[in-house]
Amino acid sequence: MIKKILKSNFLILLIVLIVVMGVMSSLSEYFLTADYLLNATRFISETSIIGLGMTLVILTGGIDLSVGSMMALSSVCLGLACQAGIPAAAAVMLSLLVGVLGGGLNGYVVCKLKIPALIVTLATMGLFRGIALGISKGSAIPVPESVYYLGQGNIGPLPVQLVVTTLAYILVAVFIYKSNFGTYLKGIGYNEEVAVFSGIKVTWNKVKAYMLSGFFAALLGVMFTCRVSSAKADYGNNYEMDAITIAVFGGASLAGGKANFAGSYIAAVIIVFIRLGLTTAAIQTEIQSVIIGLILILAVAFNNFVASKKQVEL
Amino acid sequence: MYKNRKAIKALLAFYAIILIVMICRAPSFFTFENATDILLNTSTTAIAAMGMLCVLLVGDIDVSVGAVLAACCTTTGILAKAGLPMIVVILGSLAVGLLLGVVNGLVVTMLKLDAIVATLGLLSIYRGLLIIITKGSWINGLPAGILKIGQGKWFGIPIPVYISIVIVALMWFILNRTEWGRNFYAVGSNKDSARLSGINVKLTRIIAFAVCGIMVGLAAVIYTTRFGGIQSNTGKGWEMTLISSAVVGGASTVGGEGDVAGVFLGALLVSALGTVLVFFGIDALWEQAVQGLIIFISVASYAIDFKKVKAKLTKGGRKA
Repeated sequence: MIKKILKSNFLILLIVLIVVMGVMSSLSEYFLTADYLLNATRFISETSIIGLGMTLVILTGGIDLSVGSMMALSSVCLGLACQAGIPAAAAVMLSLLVGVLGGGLNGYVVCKLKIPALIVTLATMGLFRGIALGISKGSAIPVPESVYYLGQGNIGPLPVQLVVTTLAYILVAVFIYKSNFGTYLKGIGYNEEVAVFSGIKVTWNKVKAYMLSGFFAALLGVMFTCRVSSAKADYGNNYEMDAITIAVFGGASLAGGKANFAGSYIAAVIIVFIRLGLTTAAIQTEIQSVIIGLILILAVAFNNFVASKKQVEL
Repeated sequence: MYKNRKAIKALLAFYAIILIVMICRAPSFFTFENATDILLNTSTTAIAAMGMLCVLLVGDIDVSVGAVLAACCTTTGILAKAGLPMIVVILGSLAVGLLLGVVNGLVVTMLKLDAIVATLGLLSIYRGLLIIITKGSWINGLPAGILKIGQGKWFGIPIPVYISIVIVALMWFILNRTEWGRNFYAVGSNKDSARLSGINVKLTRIIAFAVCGIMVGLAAVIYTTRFGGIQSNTGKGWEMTLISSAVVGGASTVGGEGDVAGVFLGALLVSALGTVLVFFGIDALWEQAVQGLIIFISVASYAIDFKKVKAKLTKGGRKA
């Protein structure tokens, strides 16, 4: 596993991260303080967990545009369930279940009807957001204080989100690198037909990947709702773009078969640091979007360049 | 080709259902004003969706269209406020669209990036630069002369409707009767065989992106003059509208499939749904859900039909 991480573009990402941190700390004196960084981990965790699901789906050669809408739907479900008097724990479970089911729907349609994932999840993106808008009637729903902990609490000195997200990343990475599940997903991503003939249960494994993506989006919905203490249907707009950026910047290939979970995590950290750092330094938010766009294109172009060099050597 | 006829048939069936329900439930739907209103709403979507169709045909995708629309709208606004003649304003907007389209095409083909990643990155670059340049200010108070393009009428029908009809006809001609069109289909169906048969694949893909840019530039002129003012966040999420229009109309995101008639019907459905749902008495809050559901059903229905026929064919034995 460690070898795999080192072989990838992980080192480049680390260098970018160090450069970004250096630049940010020179722009703002507050940046490299423990308080600031600990607080930043809340945002980092939220951004990175949605990238985790996307990385899984991209590994299978698919894409999931519905994550932002799923986040909103799970948020609204949590709010409505709490309002209806369902105990907090059950309400959280319910909204996570919604995520799993929504992801399952995506995966099932992609596999069974053989429609490109881009189209299916584009449709469910509108569908999930529309349902969220419809059932919440477009208004913000306050959530009870009993769930605040999930978004605002600490485990020891660390924010809850940081612990949850890091655990999720470690669990997924272990499963991907150490169990058959990872091999299956990679095989499906490289060549689905070959995977079918090798006896891999393609449909079930792909559906699992989409379910996980839905689950992580729902988890983000829950944590985000608890942090800002109200549920709303317009959360997570354009988050799918963030998630794709993270996965691809982290080293995943949209053609499938290639993904790097450690890379995705670092990519999320870099992106959040650029956003937060520039905001703290009172630099126009628009420059952030230019920088992030440039980084995405350059990083992917560089990855492709390295990959093509490697092929020549072989 | 074959799948597309399915898409058009399915869309026509959709329209038939909508019309029948309308006749029964809301006869007030059938007014001349309502019809022109729907066509007016469709015009910008349909024009730009034609551009998106070209990009999808060569097997790429352009998610930066929303930002390109904002850039072209801003250009239109600035040029019009400077008091330049109408033709210069239009050409200016088209030129900006063309420029950004070519940049998209160059980045995708020269850096060998996935189109979705490249245009995603360019989307945020364009949007950022645009706001830095315009300082995020709104543009309004355009001279009355230029507003005629978006708000004027000939024989009771809004001018944008005529423009969109001309563009659809032109695109039909380009895609079906010219070398460019055939190259688009060839490249999208199989890049290798297209290259081996002497088509310049990279150039074809760049042209597709350029056409998309020009179409968005034209849509921007109509958009700006119709509403008489623009905000810097114009066109946010618009890429999804265009992609859904094209896909509902039977275009494939894998390339090589789709045609003008289907995409026009798709654009009409996507833009008319809002109005239709109001007449159905569906709460505006549920509009997006129904819209998503209809896109979902229509796309799924094409796939199901396709499969059934395929199964039938294999059962009956293949004919040589």
